[in-house]
Amino acid sequence: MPTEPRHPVEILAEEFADRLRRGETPSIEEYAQRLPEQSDTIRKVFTPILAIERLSDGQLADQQFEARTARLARDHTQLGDFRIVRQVGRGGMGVVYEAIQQSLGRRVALKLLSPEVASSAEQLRRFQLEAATFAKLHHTNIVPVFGIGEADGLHFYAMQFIDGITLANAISQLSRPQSLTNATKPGTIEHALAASSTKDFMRTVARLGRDVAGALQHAHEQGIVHRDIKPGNLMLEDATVWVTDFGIAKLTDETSQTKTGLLLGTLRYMAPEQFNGQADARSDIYSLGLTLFELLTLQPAFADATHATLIKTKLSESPLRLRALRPDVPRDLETIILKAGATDSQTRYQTADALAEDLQRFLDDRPILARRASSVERLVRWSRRNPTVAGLSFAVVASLAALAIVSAGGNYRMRQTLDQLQAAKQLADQNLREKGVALDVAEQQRSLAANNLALAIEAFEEIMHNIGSRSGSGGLSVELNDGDVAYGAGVVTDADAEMLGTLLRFFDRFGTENTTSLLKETAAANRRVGDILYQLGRVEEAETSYLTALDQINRLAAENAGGEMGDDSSRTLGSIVEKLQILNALGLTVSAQGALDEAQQYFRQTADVYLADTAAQKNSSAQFEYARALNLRTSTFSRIGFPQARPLPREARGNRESPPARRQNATKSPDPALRRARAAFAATARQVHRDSKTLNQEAIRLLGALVEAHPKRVDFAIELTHAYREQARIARLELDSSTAHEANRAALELLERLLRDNSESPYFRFVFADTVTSMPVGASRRNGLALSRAIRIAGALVREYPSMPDYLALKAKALLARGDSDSSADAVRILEQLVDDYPAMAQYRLLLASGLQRLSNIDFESQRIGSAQERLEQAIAVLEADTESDQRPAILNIYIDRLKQQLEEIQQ
Amino acid sequence: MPETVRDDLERLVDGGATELAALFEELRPRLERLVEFRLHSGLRGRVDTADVLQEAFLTISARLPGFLESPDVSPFVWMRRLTLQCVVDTHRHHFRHKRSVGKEVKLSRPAAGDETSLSIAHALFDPRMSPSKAVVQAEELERLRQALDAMDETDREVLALRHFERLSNNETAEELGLSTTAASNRYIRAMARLAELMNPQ
Repeated sequence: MPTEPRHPVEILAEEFADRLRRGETPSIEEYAQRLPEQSDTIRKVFTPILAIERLSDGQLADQQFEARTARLARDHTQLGDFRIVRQVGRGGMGVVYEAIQQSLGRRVALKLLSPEVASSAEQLRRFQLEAATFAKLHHTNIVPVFGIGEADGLHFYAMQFIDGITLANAISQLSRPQSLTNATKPGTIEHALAASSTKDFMRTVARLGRDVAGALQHAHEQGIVHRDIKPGNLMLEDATVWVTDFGIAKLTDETSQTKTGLLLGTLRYMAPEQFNGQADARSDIYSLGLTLFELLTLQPAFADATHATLIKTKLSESPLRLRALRPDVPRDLETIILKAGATDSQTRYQTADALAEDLQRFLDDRPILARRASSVERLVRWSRRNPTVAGLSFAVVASLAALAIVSAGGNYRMRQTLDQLQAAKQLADQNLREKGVALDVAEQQRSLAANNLALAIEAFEEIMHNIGSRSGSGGLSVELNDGDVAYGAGVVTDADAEMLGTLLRFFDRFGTENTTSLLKETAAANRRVGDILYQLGRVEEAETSYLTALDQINRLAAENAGGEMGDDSSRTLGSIVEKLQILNALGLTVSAQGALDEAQQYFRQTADVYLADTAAQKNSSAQFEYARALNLRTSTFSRIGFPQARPLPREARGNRESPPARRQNATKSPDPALRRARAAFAATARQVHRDSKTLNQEAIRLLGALVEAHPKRVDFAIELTHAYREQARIARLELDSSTAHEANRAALELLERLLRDNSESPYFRFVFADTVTSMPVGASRRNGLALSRAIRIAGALVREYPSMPDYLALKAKALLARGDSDSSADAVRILEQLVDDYPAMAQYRLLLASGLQRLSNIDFESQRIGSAQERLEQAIAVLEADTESDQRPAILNIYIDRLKQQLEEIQQ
Repeated sequence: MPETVRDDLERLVDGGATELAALFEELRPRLERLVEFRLHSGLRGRVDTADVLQEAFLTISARLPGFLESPDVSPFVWMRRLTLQCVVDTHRHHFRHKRSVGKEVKLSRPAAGDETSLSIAHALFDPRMSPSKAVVQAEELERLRQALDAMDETDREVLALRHFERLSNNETAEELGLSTTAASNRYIRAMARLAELMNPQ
């Protein structure tokens, strides 16, 4: 076989590849110069040779390591003093075995270092040094490292064998509900996590966090930073959590990880400063914060799929919103976790001990030391980070100051807030002086306007949240039951309305100065103000706010359709959801004023908007609003006998665009016109009865699916109970008692589940009791039992939270639902006090009036005519409350009319 | 014929079975590499490379007299072929109940293009391969994978033999039944093609 000539470049390529395989780093240019006439070809083909050799090299190392490690477990190989029992894990850093240390007869975990780490002498030397340090860590929650070893060219370290699972395993089990309690044994942490009530779950999480923080503190005191705290490095064994793999991250830091970009699983929990290679104790605190976040929400705090976006998301100041994902997390626990996971290491807990301390305080029900960052603090921080804060105009500061004054209401926080505002303003002024000259002021103002508005919106959200938490229940549903009593769940005051009004003027200014970009936000703000006014019983003003919001959202849609179509579909979807919310709110508002036809038109519009948009039909929030509209339509349908009229619009409304045609005949007395109107409405109601049944079925189907898909969304579940209640109501109209019974049972079951899952939460106890008391009594034994339970719950809530007016009102409502004379008298006493304390709360007046009416009926049946008359007069006085009829919400006037009618009947 | 090849052949002619065992031990690292590269990743941990090589050695011993009668390739390339056949037999044994007849036919053809790309794909995408995989720049790796995917089978096989099995040009020529010139030119052509696929201008 004669040797034939080879391609000259191929000869060099073979040599090049051989040198690479020997670990040399030959340069491509060197070869290009050796064969100048072929230099182009050489440059072209040698680059892929580099890539393919690197790939082949890595593959070889991996396969050899893998084949070898598999063999170790299969053959129960002896490695020095250790006999391998089985492989228990495999990760980026190596392979973990269960093994027996024969000289001591103890069970150990052997972690075999991957060839990456073991292949470099320098790495091994460092590993030995550091392993010696880690072996010095003795703490009840740190897995002890016994030592390191080497046998047959394999490097490993031995540590205590933990007979348990990692927190990462536990989290993935928790997110599969079917595997919940079955697999865990009592007494273990994973059992406590899986089987316990919400309260116990939260406490288990807090205890786990406290123990890990304690372990970290111990290590930090020895100058050791873990650098890689994550669910996969926390082991659960019985009732103990163990921190494992101390310092291993640092070891691998300078081999595979920094060479190549970090492994994503690790990057996810890594503190932002670690991206720059800096890590201290606070980096571990951050990672622990994110780990606890994931345990609570069962999803990573930062879930981005690629390195680049993950780093970008983490560095851009996007505060985590824990309770948005899981509303039943206690506020204090949320505060602690968010502080631990703060982007800026300065605002985190500065020591692991401080974190442990706060978690312990949470466990002891003592006040925690961490404070929530208020919007004002965020403003100050933001202005520190943004040197061009010059655009922080005085108007913003003034608005926020006004807000602070109204919202703080005289306690010491007001002074604190104002001080902070003062500081922010000074900073702003100073920056304006320094920078203002150099920059185009107009441009600056414009770009910062958006930032300022974002801050204002945050302030707004915070106020809304405060109001929400004050009220104990976030819902704004007003039920017009057979007794014509409106129940609003929230407690709002006129001060809230004033405060929001102040803020709203600020929004309005931005709304007019800026075009489309802020319309959605201002519309949302107007809607929220409408909500507040609605709760205050100022329904006509609420309607005005809603109409403004609707106008803004329509303008936004028009402008989007005009030009920048499809540039941001998620924002468009957001606007549609907003519009659905506004339409529903409008419907509710006009129905509270008695204009049921008009309400129907709004609800129908909700349906039209929803059904015309395919994207909305895939969005759970939009589905929810649509289902609400269906529910509201059926509930207005079934409200036969309610006078459908409203008083003339007030002058104050001005000459704004008129809403759809409405009946404007005043109704103040039960005259023949009113009776005719009632008869007409009854006829309509009969006509639409069949429709309403269809709508209700659709609502139940939709909400059922939503509840199944989002079991944690309480508002979905509660709306579903409303749908069942509608179903029961429709069935009763048809005298179909078995369906009614069934629907009531379904509603109760759902409520009982909500209560069972959240037995500690005052909110759910409130919702349960509130819904039960609004159900027809005596329909079934179960309802009767539920009512007794509701009364007990109401009593307990009042004992636990004596200052919450909502709970007092609930107790009164429950007593009224019982219906006997003593209970009614008790209820009236409670309500009289509430009306005194909260004169602006229309719903309390309505409740009190209905209680007095009940007592009057009882008196009348017992032939105590004088007393019955007196009670009715009292009820009327409560409702009139020294106001002129045109200043009262229409609903009050309607009720007053009805009481006056009854009074006349008694007098006759 | 290069010196070493003639030497190897002479050793086998003179020394018979004893020399065969010695030569096999010398070539073992290269044959291990072949097995590890060609063995389906699903069988790793279940099938030991050493077992496959032991099986291969038995076959090689049995076929030695026949080979020595008319040695058409070098001893290494011959041993490599028989070892590869053992890998294929192992696949067939383990996947018999799962594979269609058509697949089996394909599998029984040594070093078929499918098998090569399969091995390369495993090298790139085995999720358990995290440590070393991280060594290679992820982006470059991705481009390489796509480029290899897009190549025709002959080119891909040339690159697999040269870089994954690490055969020399002469061995590659023998294996593919080409002249050294043709193998050499084909390698450069394949590599140029890979370069173009990775960096389309």
